[in-house]
Amino acid sequence: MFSYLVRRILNLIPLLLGVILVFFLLFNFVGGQESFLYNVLPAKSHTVEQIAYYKHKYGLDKPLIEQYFDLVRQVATFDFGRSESTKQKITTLIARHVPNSAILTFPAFAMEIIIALIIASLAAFYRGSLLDKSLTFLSVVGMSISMLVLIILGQTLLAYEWKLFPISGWENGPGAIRYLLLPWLLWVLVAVGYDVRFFRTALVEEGEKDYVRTARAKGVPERRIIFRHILKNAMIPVLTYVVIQIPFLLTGSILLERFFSIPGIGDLMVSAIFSYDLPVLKAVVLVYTLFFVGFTLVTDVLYALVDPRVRLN
Amino acid sequence: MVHRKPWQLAVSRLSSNKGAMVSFFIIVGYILMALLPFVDFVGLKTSATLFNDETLKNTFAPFTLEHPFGTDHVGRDVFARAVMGTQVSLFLGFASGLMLIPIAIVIGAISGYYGGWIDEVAGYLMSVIVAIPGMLIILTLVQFGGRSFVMIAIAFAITGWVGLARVVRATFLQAREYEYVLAARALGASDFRIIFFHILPNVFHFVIITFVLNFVEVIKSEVFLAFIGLSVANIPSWGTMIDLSKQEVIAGNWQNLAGATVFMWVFLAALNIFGDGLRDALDPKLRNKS
Amino acid sequence: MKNLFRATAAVVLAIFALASCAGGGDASKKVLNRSSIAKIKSFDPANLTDLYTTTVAGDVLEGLYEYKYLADSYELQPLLAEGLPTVSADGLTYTIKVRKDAFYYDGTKTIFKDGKGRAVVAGDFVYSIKRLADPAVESGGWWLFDGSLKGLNEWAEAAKTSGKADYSAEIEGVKALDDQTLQLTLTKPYPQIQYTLAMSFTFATPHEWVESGEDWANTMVGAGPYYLDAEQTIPQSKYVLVKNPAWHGQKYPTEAGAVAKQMGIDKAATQDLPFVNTVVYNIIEETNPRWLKTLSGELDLGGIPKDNFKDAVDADGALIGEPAAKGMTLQKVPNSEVTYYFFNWEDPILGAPAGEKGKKIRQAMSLAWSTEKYIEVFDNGRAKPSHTVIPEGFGGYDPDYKNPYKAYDVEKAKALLAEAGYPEGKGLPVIKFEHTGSAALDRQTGEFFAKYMSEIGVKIEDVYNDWPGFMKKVDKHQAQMGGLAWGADYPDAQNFLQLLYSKNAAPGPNSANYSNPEFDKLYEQASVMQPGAERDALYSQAALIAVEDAPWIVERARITFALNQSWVKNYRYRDIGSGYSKYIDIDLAAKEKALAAK
Repeated sequence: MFSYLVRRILNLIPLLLGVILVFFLLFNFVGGQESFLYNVLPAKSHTVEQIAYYKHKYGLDKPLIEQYFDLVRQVATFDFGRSESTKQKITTLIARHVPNSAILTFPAFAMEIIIALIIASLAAFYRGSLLDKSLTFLSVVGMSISMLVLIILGQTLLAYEWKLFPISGWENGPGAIRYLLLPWLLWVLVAVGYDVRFFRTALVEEGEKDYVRTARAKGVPERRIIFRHILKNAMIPVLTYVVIQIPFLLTGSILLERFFSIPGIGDLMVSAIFSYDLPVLKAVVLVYTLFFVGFTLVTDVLYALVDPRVRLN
Repeated sequence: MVHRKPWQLAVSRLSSNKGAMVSFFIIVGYILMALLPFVDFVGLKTSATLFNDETLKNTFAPFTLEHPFGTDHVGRDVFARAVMGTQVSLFLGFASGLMLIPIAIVIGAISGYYGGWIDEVAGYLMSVIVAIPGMLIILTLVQFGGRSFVMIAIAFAITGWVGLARVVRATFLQAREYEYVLAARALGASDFRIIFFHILPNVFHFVIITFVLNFVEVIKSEVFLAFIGLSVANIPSWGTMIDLSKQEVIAGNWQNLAGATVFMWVFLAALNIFGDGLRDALDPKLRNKS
Repeated sequence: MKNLFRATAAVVLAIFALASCAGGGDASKKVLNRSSIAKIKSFDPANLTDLYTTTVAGDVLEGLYEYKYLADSYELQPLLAEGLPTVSADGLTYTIKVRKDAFYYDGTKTIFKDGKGRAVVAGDFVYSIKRLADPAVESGGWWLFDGSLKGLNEWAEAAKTSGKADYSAEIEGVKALDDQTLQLTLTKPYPQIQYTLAMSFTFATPHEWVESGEDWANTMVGAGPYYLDAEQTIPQSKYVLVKNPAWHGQKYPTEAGAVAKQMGIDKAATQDLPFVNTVVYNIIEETNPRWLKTLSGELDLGGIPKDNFKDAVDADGALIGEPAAKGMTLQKVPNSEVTYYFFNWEDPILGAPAGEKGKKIRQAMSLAWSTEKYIEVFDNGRAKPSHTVIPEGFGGYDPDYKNPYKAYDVEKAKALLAEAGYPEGKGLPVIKFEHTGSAALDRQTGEFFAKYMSEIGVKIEDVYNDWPGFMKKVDKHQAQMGGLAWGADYPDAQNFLQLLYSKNAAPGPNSANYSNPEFDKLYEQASVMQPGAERDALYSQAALIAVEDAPWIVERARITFALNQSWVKNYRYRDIGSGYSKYIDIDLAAKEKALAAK
């Protein structure tokens, strides 16, 4: 087990180097660094010396290979410096924004999964009925609407006209919940359609397996078949589906965060893009990657613990 | 000859699926619609793009027979603009799909078929791409590389190929041990022939489904790009219309939002239903399941 | 399963319970709810370059001077100074007395344990001006002082060579004669320097605070009417300012100009400032929620988004619809700015190398363009066409002057184009118009401009850049044509005329790279003169030269439509200066009544 763990962790190094390389190429060859430079300069008046000064300050006058290793060193030491636009420490910025995104996305995701499971079970149980058809149709309706449209409608009608929710805002601690209700609702509306269709297929497939037929033939009560057998076994594809999506939750939801003034990581990322704040952008991407890779590692290790065959691979 | 039968079966399965057939005709309708502005059919392109002192007197007109979705802030017909927006969506969908599929097939097939270090390299490439947030790659490429149709399509293709490539790779990994492949090889068939004529048809259904569902992704992402201000300039698109509408609706001007949303929603719903139908018809595993 | 349901129900109930009790608050306190449309950046005075951060900082930090709130034009009055500066006869020495009763207040209680700290002294301003010159500070305000104070550039040069600035070194140009006396000695006359002492760059903050730790610029320590409450503030979401108990105090002004009288904001004379206990700046970047929150009364001050304009304001500019029904008040204030489309003076076709021909093309394009129509369609009438580079209300501005090339006249434009050798535009290459963005408005503007030019046969290719991409082209003198705006830093036309001064060519602010020795001479002569009719005459003369040469199509000055709720008193929108929250009052009873009526 230990050697498996070591092997997996060592595998991360080339992966991270690759991610840094892609990032580096994107910003060097597609031109981000120069854009960044021009945004750092005072907007109203600048001089040729200032351009040279900033080039030097950010190491943009060094050979490319050195610049790449500078980037690697920043990731390794977790020292991303300061934001160019707000001058704040980037690690502090990220530490402050990630929890806000998490409190938006994790509960929303949990609600989405629970609601989708309930709907999918209903649809699967009454397969072929009018109920099934209308639920499936509604999921397609839901997944075909753009989030931006829902936000505009939700904020204008539900929040402003009908005063069911606050329009936007933020507070630290439990006070944030009242501001999160509408974003959560919109999140669920948009995401639940995909899940319902996936879960329904998983449940239907499980229900067609031989052991279910046998159980039915033996006269096991239908309720017992559904809860004890079908739901329990269908949990494996469902859980896999859920686990795969978890790392994406951390990047938050850019549109929701912007329209509801939630100071999350998606909002931070968009602001960084808008203001060409390269140091922040760099840090957000690399932190996301670290989380993604770390999460994959943990799940793999857990699988390996459960199933020793994986370790040999 | 061998492959004809399953195909016929699939077509007959698909044609008995009413929802999928309706969706199919809707999609065909949209494709035709995208072509109309090219020939300026009944002045469609003119009323979608032209504005002058005359139209400026009729801004934000309500929904009437003449203007089914009213007019926009300079008096252009929103219905015509929404029809024209189809072009952008379809172009981006087709272009990115046509780029993404060859990449996915070639990388997936080669790595699955040859295995070894080639597979290692391809697998590494895939995990690197997956580990970077896709939207960020798209935003960066479009932001810094220029907001042209082609750039946006390339960006979608670069981020979208990994899923399909993984499926292709897995199929090839299994298939290279199958008897018919071993037999073909014993008979002296080239690798090229084995890859493209013997194994590839097995993943073909997946390619088609990816192609169809890629449209859904691309169209939704275009809205997001427009919100960030990175969509294609100077041509009406659903994303730009929705982006504009976010400030117009509070003032009671629903024209842009209604026009773009209705057009987009019908198209996306049709694509989703058709995609489902395709999957049911083509994927033998799911046969009889719905 | 049952337990799960019970647990879920409990959680849901708890959420609703929380939702209903949150958001109450003590009604006995006066809170002013403001908004910021952009993220708040660093509070380092030397880098307070953006309007939104400066607005917040201006309520906490104070400078030597401020602008009179009720005056018609922008006039200086002492704030941390005791009086206006004494200027020597040669115009080179400025002596300023600092008031004795101003104390710093540290809301975080880190450097001053009791909150109230030491007195503000002249040395603090020496320190803040030195910081602007310190290369390590990378100040965005240095260009205002660059080369104008004796010994300061040498000091900065020494800091650059040694790698560390020596703040103990004495500089001839910036001296504290004693704790109350600041003396500035100039290298050449620079009358505009007094305005820089009202700008955010020279706001006083104690050096103890700057040296207190690397994150000092995330909060503020100043001598202003409010302090930043770090406990209640949520960075990047809301900034909460609370009344400073140690503030030196100030009375509501007694003298009011005609505008203020007409607005009826002169009634609170001699009352103690500030009126409200708490000022909250909510960061709301999207227009949609910001407007909804204005309508719902959650924000006390607001603006009307462009697209909601027709439903909020009628053809005569009076408030209608929902805002009117809610008793809001509207102010229309022309911004001290000019927007313009510039032509690259070095361009072989449009610029100086083409001589008279180039000039005629520029004049023709200016004639073929209708700023009025643009304002009608894109600004909803919320702008005023500009006729020269000098904005309204500034010395040298002539309200009766009409720029002959701004009289939309297609026939005359065609004639000029033909004289230039391009009848109907034949033979004229496509002109590249560089835009600073690619948002909907940029695209629509591009389309609109191209349409007007096509009427005289000039073909335009719109190039949509991002801001850095645009600046890069301008800096390299590669932008054939482009659109920009300049907002006033201080109320002196020199701030605008310098945009056409040849020595300020890009990367300086002269983006057109315009160069005319005659203009330069007038500019050099007038900009060092003390304010007066003689100087203003030279300013207008210089502006007229630029009209004839047409390096720009002078566009417009936008008008800000500022809204406030019925319960807000004394609010006046000013687009130069900061720190105006202290004048604003809230009528709590009226607010309660208005909100209950809904």
